[in-house]
Amino acid sequence: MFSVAVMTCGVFLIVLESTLLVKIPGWFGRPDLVFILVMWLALRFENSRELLLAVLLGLLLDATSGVNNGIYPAAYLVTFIVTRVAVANLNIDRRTHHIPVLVVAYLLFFSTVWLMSSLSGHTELIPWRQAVPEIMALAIISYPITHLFDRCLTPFDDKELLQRILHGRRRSNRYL
Amino acid sequence: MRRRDRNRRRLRRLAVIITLLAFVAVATLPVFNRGAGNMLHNAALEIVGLGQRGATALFSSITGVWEDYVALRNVRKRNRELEAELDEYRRTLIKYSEAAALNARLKKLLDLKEETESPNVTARIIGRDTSSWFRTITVDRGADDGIRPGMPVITVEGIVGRVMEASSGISTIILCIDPNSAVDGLIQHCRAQGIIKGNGEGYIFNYVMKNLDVRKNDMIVTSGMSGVFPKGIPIGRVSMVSNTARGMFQEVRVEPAVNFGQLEFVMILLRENPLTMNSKGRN
Repeated sequence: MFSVAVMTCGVFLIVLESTLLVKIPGWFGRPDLVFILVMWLALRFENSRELLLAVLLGLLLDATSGVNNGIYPAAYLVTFIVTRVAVANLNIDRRTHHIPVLVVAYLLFFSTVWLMSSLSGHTELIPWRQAVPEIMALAIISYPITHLFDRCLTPFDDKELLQRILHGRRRSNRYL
Repeated sequence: MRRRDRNRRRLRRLAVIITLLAFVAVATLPVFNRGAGNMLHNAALEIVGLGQRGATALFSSITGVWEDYVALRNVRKRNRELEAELDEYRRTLIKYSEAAALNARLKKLLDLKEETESPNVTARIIGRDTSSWFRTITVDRGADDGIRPGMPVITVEGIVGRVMEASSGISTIILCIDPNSAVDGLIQHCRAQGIIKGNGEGYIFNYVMKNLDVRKNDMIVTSGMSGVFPKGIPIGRVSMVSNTARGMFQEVRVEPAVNFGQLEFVMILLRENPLTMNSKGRN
């Protein structure tokens, strides 16, 4: 159920990005909402299921964006694994340092896409300064969006809570 | 007991790794055959395309109401301007119809075969590339309408790009301003031929010899050499020419004839033998 909810949310975000957010001028910075979702999965959970979801989101993005297939799944995979490993081994609090981690992870994601594009024969690569407005937009919007994910998607991970929401059942112990 | 747990954990980890590898393989292997009918991609394209179609319809109806209101406010003034413009066009039309008649006579004399226009499909843009890396668009027509990868896409103003992928009802188009795109062009004034390459925002006209007289505002059109785009479709105007001390070629920057930011509808030419695009989407 959680996976279906995340994928539905991913489709919604891609639609939003490709129809509404593209109207924002490039210099203003267009936040990558799917990246925020991927990072939310990486930082809020500890299972391997989220890694699969991140790759699936990359595949979904691949279908609507880009010229060479496989760039987004691979970039999400690399960013996801590195972020998880870094967070597990460094003194980083997943909630407190969410935005700084997201910003650093975006730089890694940007570098990965840049590297893969250059390897796939791109002659004109986008300049690094392009990353600045995107990172700014990402940092600003990530807090409310992450909060929204916490509110809307986390219940799908809690089977008991979900059942209560769907069927209106109460716990037997009313003090819980 | 502990060993069994450890084995189970190992097995689970192995299963995850194998699944991941399978996903990555599915995702990365098609790098070499994009447009070859990857079912997974087509399914994803259809799902996202459905949402994009709905969202575009919703946003355009909202902006349509607002634009109608704004348009009403200046309609009288605009009407006068348009009438004056129409008069001028009528005068031009008379002049051109004379020229066309003369052209027809000359063609007959030279026994030139008139090129038949390709059948075409008009498609609405329902989505644009989300990243700043690539320049692609999604349109609401697909293989069911006869669209195949490699077909040229144009508007009244000029060339737009080529079909990159076509699922049953949705197609993705690589724009000519994408760095992966290349189109053969011709400068109308001096007949210099070269390759137009995208640089994200505009074009760069490559392989123009230094001895050729290229000027700012020169019109560049398709040369029709590769057989993808018909000959004579506007590409853009020369915006900058620079002659570096080294090399044989001039550096020519071109302003696109089409305003890619304001594209809403495009025309896909259903050319009979479109070249199949290779992995990098080169035209």
